[in-house]
Parts: sequence; C-alpha cells; structure tokens
Amino acid sequence: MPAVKETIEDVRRLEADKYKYGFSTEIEQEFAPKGLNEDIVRFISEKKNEPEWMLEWRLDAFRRWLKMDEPNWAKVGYPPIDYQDAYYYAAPKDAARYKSLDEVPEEILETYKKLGIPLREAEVLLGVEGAEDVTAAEARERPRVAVDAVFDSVSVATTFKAELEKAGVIFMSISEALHAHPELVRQYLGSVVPVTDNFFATLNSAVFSDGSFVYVPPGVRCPMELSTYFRMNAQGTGQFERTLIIADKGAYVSYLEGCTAPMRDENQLHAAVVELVALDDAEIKYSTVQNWWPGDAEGKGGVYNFVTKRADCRGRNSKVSWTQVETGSAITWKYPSCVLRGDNSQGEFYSIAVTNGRQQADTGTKMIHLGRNTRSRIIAKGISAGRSDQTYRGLVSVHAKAAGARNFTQCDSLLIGDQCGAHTVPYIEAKTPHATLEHEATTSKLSEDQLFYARQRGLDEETAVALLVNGFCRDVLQELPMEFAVEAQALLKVSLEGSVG
Amino acid sequence: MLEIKNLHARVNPEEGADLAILKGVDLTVPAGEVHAVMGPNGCGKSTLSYVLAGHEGYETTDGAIRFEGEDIGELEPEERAARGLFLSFQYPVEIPGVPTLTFLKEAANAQRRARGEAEISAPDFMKLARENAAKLGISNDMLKRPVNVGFSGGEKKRMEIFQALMLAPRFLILDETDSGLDIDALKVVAEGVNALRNPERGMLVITHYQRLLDHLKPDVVHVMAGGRIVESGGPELAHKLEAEGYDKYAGEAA
Amino acid sequence: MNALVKLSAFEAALAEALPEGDLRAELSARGLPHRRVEDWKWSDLRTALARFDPASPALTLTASRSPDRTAEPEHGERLMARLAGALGQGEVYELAPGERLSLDIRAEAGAGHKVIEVIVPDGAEAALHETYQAAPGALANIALVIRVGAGARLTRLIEQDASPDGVIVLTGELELAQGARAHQTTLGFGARLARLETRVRHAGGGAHLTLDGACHVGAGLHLDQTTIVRHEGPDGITRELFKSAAAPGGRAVFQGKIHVERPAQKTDAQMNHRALLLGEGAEIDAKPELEIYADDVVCAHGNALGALDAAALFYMRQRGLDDARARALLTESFLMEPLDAVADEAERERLKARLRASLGAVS
Ligand SMILES: Nc1ncnc2c1ncn2[C@@H]1O[C@H](COP(=O)(O)OP(=O)(O)O)[C@@H](O)[C@H]1O
Ligand SMILES: [Mg+2]
Repeated sequence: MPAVKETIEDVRRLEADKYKYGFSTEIEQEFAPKGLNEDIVRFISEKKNEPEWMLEWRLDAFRRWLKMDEPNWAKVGYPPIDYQDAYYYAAPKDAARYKSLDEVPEEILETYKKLGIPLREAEVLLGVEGAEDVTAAEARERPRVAVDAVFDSVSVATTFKAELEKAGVIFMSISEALHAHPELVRQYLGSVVPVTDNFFATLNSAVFSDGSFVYVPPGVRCPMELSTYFRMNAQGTGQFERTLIIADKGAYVSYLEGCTAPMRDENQLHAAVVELVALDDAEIKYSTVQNWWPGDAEGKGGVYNFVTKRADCRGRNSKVSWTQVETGSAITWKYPSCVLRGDNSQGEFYSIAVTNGRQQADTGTKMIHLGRNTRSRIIAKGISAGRSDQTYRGLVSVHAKAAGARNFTQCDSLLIGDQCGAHTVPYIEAKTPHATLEHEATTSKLSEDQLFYARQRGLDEETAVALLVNGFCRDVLQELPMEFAVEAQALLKVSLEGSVG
Repeated sequence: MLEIKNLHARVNPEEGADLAILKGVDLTVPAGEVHAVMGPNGCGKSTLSYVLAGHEGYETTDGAIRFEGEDIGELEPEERAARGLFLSFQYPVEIPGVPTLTFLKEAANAQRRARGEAEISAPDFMKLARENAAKLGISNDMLKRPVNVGFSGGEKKRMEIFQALMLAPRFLILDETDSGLDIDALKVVAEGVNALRNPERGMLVITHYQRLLDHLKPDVVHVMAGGRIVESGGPELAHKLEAEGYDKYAGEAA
Repeated sequence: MNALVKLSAFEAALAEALPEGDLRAELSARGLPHRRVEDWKWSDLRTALARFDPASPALTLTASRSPDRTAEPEHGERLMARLAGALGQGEVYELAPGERLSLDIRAEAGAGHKVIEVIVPDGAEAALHETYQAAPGALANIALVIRVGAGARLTRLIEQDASPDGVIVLTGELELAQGARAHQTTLGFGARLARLETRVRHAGGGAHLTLDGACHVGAGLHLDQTTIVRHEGPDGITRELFKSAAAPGGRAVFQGKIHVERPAQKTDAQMNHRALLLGEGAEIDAKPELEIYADDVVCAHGNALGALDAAALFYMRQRGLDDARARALLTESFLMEPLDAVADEAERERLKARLRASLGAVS
C-alpha cells in the first residue's frame, strides 16, 4: 500500500514546471484583428494569396458554421468558448516572404532547436543539441526526418524538400501547395472530412491557417520519415492547422506529428483537420505525440484540442495506421478514424492517453467497414491520474456489404489515485453475418504486487511506476517509429512524475 | 477404395491469400490396407485431410477424389461422412455447450438416415458408448462434458478415436493422432485403431513418428513433400525416414 | 435545450391525456425518445409508435395474488417510467419470505401503462416472475420498482413473448440494500420494438447482482436489452451475461453500463455480451460502457459479435450432421448458457424448451 500511496501523493503534486516546453518566443508578430467574421476569413485567404475558389470554399464553410451548434456529447466540461475573443491568424512578421531557411529569424530557429527539432539540415545530420548522449556517429546512423515547422498560423520552414522531390514526393505547407499543386489540393481537400462534418471541422474549413501537404506518387516508398512540428506561440491565438496526405497506388509514407505550446493562463483553441487518402495498395502510418500545454495543476490555462482526423482507405488493400501518444491539452476531443472503403483495406488505431492534474480527454476512434474483408484493430491504453477524467469513445461499424470484416478492440484503463475517472464508451454495430467483432475492456489500478516486486529488486518507486506504466502501454509503444518511442516513454514518465527527482 | 488422382488444391481466396498447397497428389488406398503418410511440417498433410473431408476453406483446382468408385469431390462434408469417411482432426475443435454424447448420437443417426438405415435407439447407443469408453479408458465424467471442452491434447485424441469407434466408419484418416500422447495413451489409442482394422476398412495415417506405426504396422508408407507424394515404399521406409529425416526431399518443394 | 419537434398523432394524444405540468411540457417539447436521443440510439420508440392509437387502452395484469395496496405511483427519473406513473395505476406487493409472485401483463389494445412496486423485506428470500406481451397496435409501458432489503434474496425471471407489431417498454429499477442478492434472468423474443431496461443501484455495500439474458429475435422484430448498474457502496459484485441471436431481418440491441462511484471501492464488476447474426439482414448493436471513479476496482467487459464458429461447423459436418442441424445445435448451445444459471430445474427446462422451439421455428 505505501508505495502506491506515495506515488499518488507525488502525482497530485504535479507542477507546471514539469512542462519543459512552456517557454514563449519573443518575436514580432502580426495578427488578424480579434474576432471572427467574413472579413477575417477574407483576411486569412488574402494573406495567403489564395485563389478565388479557396476563398469561396472558406466563406461557404463559415456561413454553414454560423448555423451549427457546438457538440456536447463528449464527456468533457468547460466554460462556453467566446469565439469572438480570439485571434484567428498570427504569424511572425514577414513570414510569407521566407524563401529559404537563411531568411528565417534566428529566434524561431532557436525555438525549434530548444524543442529538439533542428531545422538546419546539417544540424539534423549531426543530431540534436540537448540529446547529449548521442555521438555524431550514432546521429548519422539515425533515420533522417524531414520537418515542416508550423509556427502559429504559418509554416516557417520545410526541410529536405529537394531530396524528397527527387523521389517525386511532394512535401510542403498546404499554403504553398495551393499555389504549386492546386489541382491536387482541390481534388482531395474536404474529400475525407466534408466541410460540414462537425462544428469544429467546419470552423477549421473557414479559418484554417497552415499545415502540411504530402503527396507520394504511385509505387514510391517515401525515402524518409516526414513530420510536422506545430508550435503555438502567440497569446490569445487559436491554431487551425490543416493537413492533407495522399498516398497514391502502391505508395508508402510514415508521418510524425508533434506539438507544444507555451504556458499561458488563458485557454487556447486548437481545432485541426487532418485528412488522409490511401489509394490501392498504399500505406500511411501517422504518428502523433501530442503535448500541448495541459494547464496547471488547478486547471488554469491549457489548450482546448478539438481535432478531426480521418483516413479514407479508398483503394483495395490499402492500409492506414494511427498511433497517438496524448499527454497534453486541458481538453482533448479527438477520434482519428478510418473509412475502410476498399476491399481488403486495413485500419489500425494505437493509442496511449495520459491525463493528470485537471485534464479531460475524450478520445478514441471510428472504424467504418464498407468494403469486403476489411480489417481493423484498436488498442487503446488510458492512464488517469490526479483529478483528471478520461474517456475512450469508439465506434466500430460493419455495413451490410462488408462480408469478411474483422475487428479486434482492446481498451485498458489504469487509475492512479482515487480522485480521477476512467470511462469506456464503445459503439459496436454489425449488419452482416459474415463479420467477426471482438471487444475487450478492463479497468484496474497499478498492481501492488508488481510494484513491490520491482522495488524489492531495487527500483525506486518512480522508476517502478514508470516501468509498469510502460509495460501497460507496451502494445502501443512498439507501434511507434523508433525515434518517437524513446521520446514517448520519456514523456510518459514526465507526465506522471510528481516533484520527486 | 480411396483413389486420389493428381490432386491440386489451394487456400480458398475468400479465406485469405491465394496459396497453392497441394500440387498433384497421387495416392491409392485399397480396402483392408493401412497407408501411412509422413512428411515435414507444412508440406500439406493436414490440407490433404481437409480436402478429402470437404473443407470449404480449400479449393480443388485440379484432379479427382474417388471413394469406392464414386467421385466425391463435389460432396458436402456430411455427405462424405455418411459414406463412411472419418477424419480424426490434428486439432480437434472444442464445441462449448454441446454435450459429447448428444452430439455423437445426432451424428450417428444423421449418418444412418442418410444411408437409409434404421436409427440407433438411445439404450443401444448408451450401451455402445459405455463399451467403447471402457476400451479407451474414458471415464463417465469425460463423456458428460461438451465436445472436446476442457480436455488436454492427448485426451482430445483419445476422444477422436472414441468417436471413430462409435461411428464405425468405412475409412479413417488419422491426422497426427499420435502427437500429444504419452507412451501408454499411444498404446491404448493404437489398440483402438487396430480393433477397427478389417478387410473392408481402409486407413490413411498421417504421422511424424515411427512409434505409432510400430503398433499399426502399415502396408505402405508414403513420403509427402512440397504438396506431392514423392516416394512410396514398405514399412522399412518409415525407419529410414526416422533415421535420415526429410532433408533429401527438401528440393521437392516446387 | 432541444428544439421543438412536431408531435406524431400518438404523442399528441398522449400529451393530451396528461395533466398540466412538467411532464406534459416535456413530452410536448421533445416527443418520445428517438434515435437521436443517446440512450435510444438503436431503438426509435417515436417512429415505432407513430401510427399507433393510444385510445381505449386494454391492459390486463394477471397476478398470482392481489396487491397489498394500490398507491400513488412512484415517479422514476426516466421519461417512460414517469409516463407510466402519470397515466397508469400503481400497485404495491410486499413479498412474504419464500413467496413466488407472478405477474402476467398483456397489452391488448391502445397504450397501457402501469407502475408496480415490489418489496422484498430484509433477510427474506423471494421470487418474481413476469411475462410481457403486446398485441398488434398495442403498447405496454410498464415501470417496476423493486426494493431488495438488507440481506434479502430475489430471483427475478422476465419472459418477453414475441409480439410482432406490438410495442413493449419495461423500465425496471432495482435497489439493492446492504448485502442483498439479486439474480435476474431474461428470456426475450422481440416485438415491433421491445425495450427491456434494468437499472440497478448497489445502494448498500456488499450486494451481489447477477443479470443474465438470452434472446432470439425473429425476422422483422427488435429487442433492446439495456442495463445500467450503479455501484454506490463498496464491495459490490456484478456479473452480467447476455447472449443474443438475430434472425435475418431481426435486430438485437444490447446497452450495458457499469457505473462505479468514488466510495464504491473494491467493486468487482464484469459484463459480457455475445451475439450471433444468423443470416443476411440481421443486425446487432452493442454499447458496453464503463464509467469508473474508484481506483481499487476490477471492472471488465467483453463483447463479441459474429457468426457461428466455422471450425465447429465443419467439425460437426465431418461427423455427419447437415449444415442446418449443425447450425441449430450450435446456436442453441450458444444461447442456452445464461439459462443454465436458473436454479429451479423445472423452470430452467421450460425456458430452454421455449428457446429451442423458437429456434426450430426459424430454421
Ligand atoms: N487457411 C490457410 N491459410 C494460409 N495458409 C495455409 C492455410 N492452411 C494451410 N496453409 C499453409 O499451407 C501449408 C501446408 O499446411 P498443412 O497442410 O497444415 O501442413 P502439414 O499438416 O503438413 O504440417 C503450410 O505452409 C500452411 O501454413
Ligand atoms: Mg498438419
């Protein structure tokens, strides 16, 4: 008993200074006027020098949004959001004119460096400053990662573009893609998450700022990991990223997404839309480490993370795999989904969510089986601590034509302390007898016996807890790309750490 | 009695990958004889037994199976069973909730009806069950359980032979019935099988080990590799395989 | 608040019959539960009743004895239970130790409502047996409040007869006092819409609850089994086993929620739902939910939907059973499991025979 009890005490004492990404960057920024109306939508579109059709698309979305109600079915509570009391566009001054990395202000480069995301390719090759124990030789061994760095509302830099181009891979910010590849953007944008999909997606469609665009041509295996690093910096500003990834026939791409924000006393809104399209025999692996500022232990501040992520497995034998490690945000509302349209297509969802302090998370996935022999697999691990509340919400739906469909779902929740909550709300629908759906869920606390055993072998209590939590999450951790797995494990430990150490 | 000609079969594409497994099996087992089939793991032995029994997961792409002169390749599994084909499964299936004797009586009578024979009465059936169970050292308690539920691997094999005794088939396919049995159980099972031997009955015995064959004394031993029968011979072939392994057939996988 | 809806003639007539007040206002504003109301997602009561006529109701209750008293009906929190309270008569039965009360309820026409309260005194052991049926075009809306006293034991059996074109809504609320035991078994066959809702409060600690159910929903029928178990006191045990099979064109719904409140430490709750789709056009919907606020608990739920095990089918056919017989046997053994726990042998065999007959009628 004492071991667990102490741990609980420690966890309760979680303090803001554990969040090491809480700094903000001093840089001159320009903003759209506060508030939201058609003029703001026009302002954003104009800033990005968008074609007329894009502006019309945004305006249409905005008008529809005005008629929509904010959803209230999720198990999260927060005071009403005043959508007029925020900035919908913020960018480092002159950002639109960065032609190369050389023009990006040093403050921004430093910011990313501090976050462990070097943007200069030479630095990438040498390894990351701060990752002390990595030798130069080891760094060269590491797989390279191309990065699109989004700072508030704009993408400030994208690395390895030239090398990717050689392979035929298009990787750039979506603002840039609107000019460079308008036909692709127009064909696919909104084709997975329709403009009116939900309140937050519609809002995003009206005011989205930046995000990444990826197109991998037929038969191409993307030569390196792609990633986008989202940083919210400006005060009182929402971030509305939009990401679109298309893997053409037989293509493969692995994409990583990271995000952090400074500590602010007020809540910041983040409403993203991510659309993935996988054509015949294509595969997309999408990994997220979400570490937005969660607010302090008393629930002050923190990011409201309302995200719509969906993949359309349009082609035969296509596959999309979502992996997420969610440790941040005051409120998380997020259900990365797969529409399994193509015959034999596969969807996967691997999730670790940690809530502590006063965090609230309502997250899960939807697997919609439309095609024959479609398969899906859901592994969700939730850890609740402090005074947090966490819900797994998921849908597995098998339509009448999806003969041969299979789903396996495993949801496990771990409670640390008696002031938190862990909930599981799966919806399961089957309309064909030729389907097999299995769902299992458990809720428990850290095992005293295991904890004692580990400590008897000499581990201190915090390490023992981290070890057990890592074991609890193993099925998901092993799905993460190597680079991310290490970071994720460290993050788990930090997220659950008390003031010890 | 059983004639297999140039049999080709693959995993049914509905079930997964489109995979050819049997690649021209030729095999004839006359009535009264016991033939053994030996071969390395994965060469297609169980697939052959499933295809003979009419499993829908496999598709016959070429060749023919004749049983007592009749082409049975298109028959349903239960029609083959009614004609007297009995498969002792390598992995007997557990059927929770269905008591063994209820199941067996249903099966026996379904087969009899299909053959136009009179059904067996409940007392006669029970008497037969007790006799056969005694032969195999199967307790009353085991008979009361649902089909194969809660049995060890070896006990399941024993129950398979018990079912064979109860159903008195014309032809037996034993798929690795010896695996999982200790020496005493092996003897009991072999005695059960030997009791079934008679001039009208044929048997195909799939095994890895000499041990079972020592008891059963097969008339012919076949070696299967790469989805075909690659060598046939007398009982001495089994001894040779036991000593030398399957290495020399490794190239046969085509 | 929900926007105003256009009431069906049925809803309008129902509202008309209510006295002025909150309930009437609520029904007029929102109508009956429908598929956009979370708890009724897969059971659209509004649509099922839209063409019904509530006038001249005929609801018969045949009980093994007369009630101890009639009473001002108890108003539960649920809309349908409140309607039953406002529009129907209330009856109270206080069970004597060892008593076996049977209630046979049939809606013959119109919309029939009733509220029944059953009390099992502290330490007593008693049984309750209910049967429900609704004729074409008739609604049976029944609310049951069952109080199981400290250390008392209740065995509850619910039989819901196939009622094509009838609608049955049963809202059962069980309250388990300290150390009470309750074992409920449901055998259901569906209706145009049938909702069998069981809400249980582990009000005292250390109670032991078993909820079992078997249902075979025939072609064109619907059956919704909803259970909400709330652990308020510590050391409670809940075991749920529900098995459903839906024939082609039939729809079986299972919603199960286990709610563990902060003081309910050492709760041990397990909920299992398994369902079979017996052919094209069958539908199964399930929502097994956990809502947990106490950390020292063991809670789990499992849900499996699918068709019969192909390996078992092949095995049985290899032994000579034809496909239909093999399926029938497997379906039967699948569905029987919850009934195996019925302690009374004669009762158990009678229920199994009913289920077998229903399965035979389909194949
Ligand atoms: N349903 C199936 N799906 C995919 N592969 C199969 C299936 N059945 C058999 N195989 C493959 O076919 C080969 C032969 O299997 P099997 O007949 O079981 O071999 P044996 O019994 O000789 O060990 C193996 O490689 C096995 O993996
Ligand atoms: Mg085998």
